[in-house]
Amino acid sequence: MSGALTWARLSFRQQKWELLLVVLGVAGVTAGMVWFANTLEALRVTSPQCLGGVSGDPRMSFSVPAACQAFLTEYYETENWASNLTNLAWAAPFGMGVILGAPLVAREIDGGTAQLAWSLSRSRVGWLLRRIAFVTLFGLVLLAVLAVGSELLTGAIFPDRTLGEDFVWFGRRGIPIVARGVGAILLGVLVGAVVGRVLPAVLASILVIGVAFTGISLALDQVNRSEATLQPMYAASGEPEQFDMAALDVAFGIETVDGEFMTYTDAFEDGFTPNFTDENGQVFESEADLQAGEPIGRDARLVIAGEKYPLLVLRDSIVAILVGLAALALSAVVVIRRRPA
Amino acid sequence: MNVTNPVLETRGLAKRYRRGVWALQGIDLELPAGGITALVGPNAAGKSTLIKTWVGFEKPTRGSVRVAGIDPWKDRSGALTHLGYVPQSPALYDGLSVEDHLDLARQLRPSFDREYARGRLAQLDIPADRGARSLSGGQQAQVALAIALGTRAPILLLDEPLASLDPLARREFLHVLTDAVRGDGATALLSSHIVTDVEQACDRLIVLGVGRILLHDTVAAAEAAHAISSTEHPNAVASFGAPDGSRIWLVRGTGDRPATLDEVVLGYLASGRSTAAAA
Amino acid sequence: MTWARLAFRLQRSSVGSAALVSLGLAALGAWLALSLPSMLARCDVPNPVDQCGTVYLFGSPMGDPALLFNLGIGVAMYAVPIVLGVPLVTSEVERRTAMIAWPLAGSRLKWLAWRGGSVLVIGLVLTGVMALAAEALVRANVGSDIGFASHGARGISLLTRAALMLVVAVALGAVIGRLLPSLLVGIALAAGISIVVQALPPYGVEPSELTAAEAIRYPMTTGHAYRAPDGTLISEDEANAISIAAYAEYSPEFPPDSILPTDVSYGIAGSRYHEVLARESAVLIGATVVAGGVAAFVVSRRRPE
Repeated sequence: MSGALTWARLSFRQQKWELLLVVLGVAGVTAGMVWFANTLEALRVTSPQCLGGVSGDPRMSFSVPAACQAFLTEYYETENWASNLTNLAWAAPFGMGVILGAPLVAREIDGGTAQLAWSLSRSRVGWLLRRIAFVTLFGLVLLAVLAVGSELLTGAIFPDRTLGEDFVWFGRRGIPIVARGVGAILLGVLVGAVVGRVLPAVLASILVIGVAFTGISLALDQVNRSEATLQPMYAASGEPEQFDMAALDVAFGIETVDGEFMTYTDAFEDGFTPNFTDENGQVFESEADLQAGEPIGRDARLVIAGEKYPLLVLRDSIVAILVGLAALALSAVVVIRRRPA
Repeated sequence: MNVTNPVLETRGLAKRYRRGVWALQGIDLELPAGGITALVGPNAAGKSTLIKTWVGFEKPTRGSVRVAGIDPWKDRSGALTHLGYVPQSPALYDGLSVEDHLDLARQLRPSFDREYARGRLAQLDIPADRGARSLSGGQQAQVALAIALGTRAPILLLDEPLASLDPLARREFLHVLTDAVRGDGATALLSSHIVTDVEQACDRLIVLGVGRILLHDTVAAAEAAHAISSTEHPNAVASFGAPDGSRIWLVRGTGDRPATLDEVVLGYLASGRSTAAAA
Repeated sequence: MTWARLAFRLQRSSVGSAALVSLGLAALGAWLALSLPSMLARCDVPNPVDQCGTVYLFGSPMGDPALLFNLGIGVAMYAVPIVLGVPLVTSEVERRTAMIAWPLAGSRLKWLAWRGGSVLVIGLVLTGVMALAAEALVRANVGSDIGFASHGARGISLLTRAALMLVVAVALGAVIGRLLPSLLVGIALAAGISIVVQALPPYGVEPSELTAAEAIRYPMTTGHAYRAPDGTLISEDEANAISIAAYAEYSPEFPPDSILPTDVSYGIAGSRYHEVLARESAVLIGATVVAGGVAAFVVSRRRPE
């Protein structure tokens, strides 16, 4: 046990300032999230009647009672500020990769201490795993705190939704934050091991982590599309369809008369020009077609139902961790083979 | 020379860096166990490169190296078990104290003898709670040496540890090293470009110049086998300038007077330079 | 030439990255600015082809690239100066090369002027290129009478903010002396500076009630009020009450405009943009000089390691 504590103490000291600043940042953001969550809940309790049946900015609505105007303005402004914190939660995992991951090996090589460490440690892989373990664990704990805070805040903003089956703010709360953080930290370590100098490693890791996770997101979008179902904007009766607020919007476009789905961009590329839409969501190429009642299709969207949320979270998290593990393996190869200076 | 169970050896070792610079060429070396060997040569002679091939930091371009019979490029872990290493301009962790460094060494090498290292540092009045950043150059070198000694490894490789030390610090460092090596029966290889520093402490001498071994012998034998002549000599190794401005020749055998170790090294370095120039 | 070569080599990675980002963004902005007029022209016909549907849906055919550019500029105008400024002193202190450089220079201020000057020139060139591209894009999107449109993210206003951030980053690096902590604090400072600079206008220029024409020509809006049908100024709540009552009375028809309250905007007309810009630039340049003074003071007094 004392060995583990010594290991933790030494690891902390080797990256003290970055770890402290990151703790400060996470603590601040999480405290903000909790504060906003409590504030919103307290506001809700004071005037529940004002919130019932109203959505969006009340300044845009003339059906809002005058007595609720001021309350709703305060409520939605608070909500607006709160949602910015969840944007920070989205960015935090990638930031951790750059701040904690990239300098890990780079600093040892840049500072010459790799010669000491790699001559003392009989196995460079063992040394690498020890160093990575502390930082990853540290990052994991902080990100978990942030993930919980973000989940709490989301629940406070959307109290009537079952967050476990709802795609609202997907990627800005919960487990994906933690999993992406692990992946990003390990990717950052790899970049640092390859580059071997702190500042270039930090800069390169911003690019590498950004490109990697953008690629992952695009790839997952394609994979997840198989879970999507087609939902027309309007029912056959001409009434607007009731949207499943918990669903994830994949794409907007047109359901053609043949029952196929194409995005607006696809439509233009295929030679369609969907320039006109009637009040029933039917899409026409020209005013003449509109008058003649000859649509090319109807407005529709591809959505993934809310109950698939756990599946997509699992996919997202597994892919992020797998990418991280691949980066870890490559880091080990680099560390074994590279010169320490 | 054929040495039984050499602790350090190289066979046909050559190392080339990018841009075609050969740092080492055709090094064949066998170092017996015990004592302190001085590896001397000018800057860029290849001393650090040679040491780093044994530590596993530089991969040979050609040939092989062995540490206690183990090729570090096939079994790095096995080789490192036999080694304690003091790098050139030892880099310590700025954020750690001296005690932290000993803890770190223990974490990385479970067999590290922390008490032994601590004792060495206490003898030198280096406070354990002092931050590494606030230590003097001499103290940092002593900490690095204490860490290497604490490994209790039978072979110590020290890469120009005296370079940045003042005369008193150099003397203290060599004293600690000699004490430890003689006491533990270890083998040490100490590289330096200042011969006079190592003359008192070392038993063997390797002169490295332009990437080649120019001389490898015991210090006593090297001094006994060479002399200085003030005129050209048929057994001359090379000629070089004396401090008084005159020209002198290092010769094998007898001459006008016995050669000092410094003069032996200078002579071989001069011969190495002229051989390289001729090539 | 030697000065430029050394300036680049001493901060190769940060200059390289900053150049990549700045020039990349500038190229994107330039392409958008050049493409936009022709795209809009192609869509301004009875039955347009191409992706003009997006013009009608989103108001611009540029979509994602334009969004990317705007986001990129907003970040890069602070990130590029941080990346250039922070390592100036921190790398010298961390690597202990300050112990060579500072005695060689004779005067630390001379050293700072030499190194800082090179970094400032590089920074101004790179952010200047971004500023120009952003200015061109705004003009392509909005026309020649751009007033306060995208103020702070184009032209001189971008340049002065970036220069301030760069010198602050140098000072920060000099104070902290360590690269990574300085970068992190620099990011926080950048957020603070952008908020403070945004809150400072209009720098003593008196706002006035904007005419209808001025209100739509990209003014700097400093306040809103409402005017009742009888011409008196009323509060937002009173205006909402009048509107609600009017709509209720005329429902399901719309009430006539004459009985509805009107918006009143206060601010500074777009035609006075240069007046505000000049004052803002003076303030920011002054702040930059102060930050430079701080940097010089710290460098002259701090230990080189």
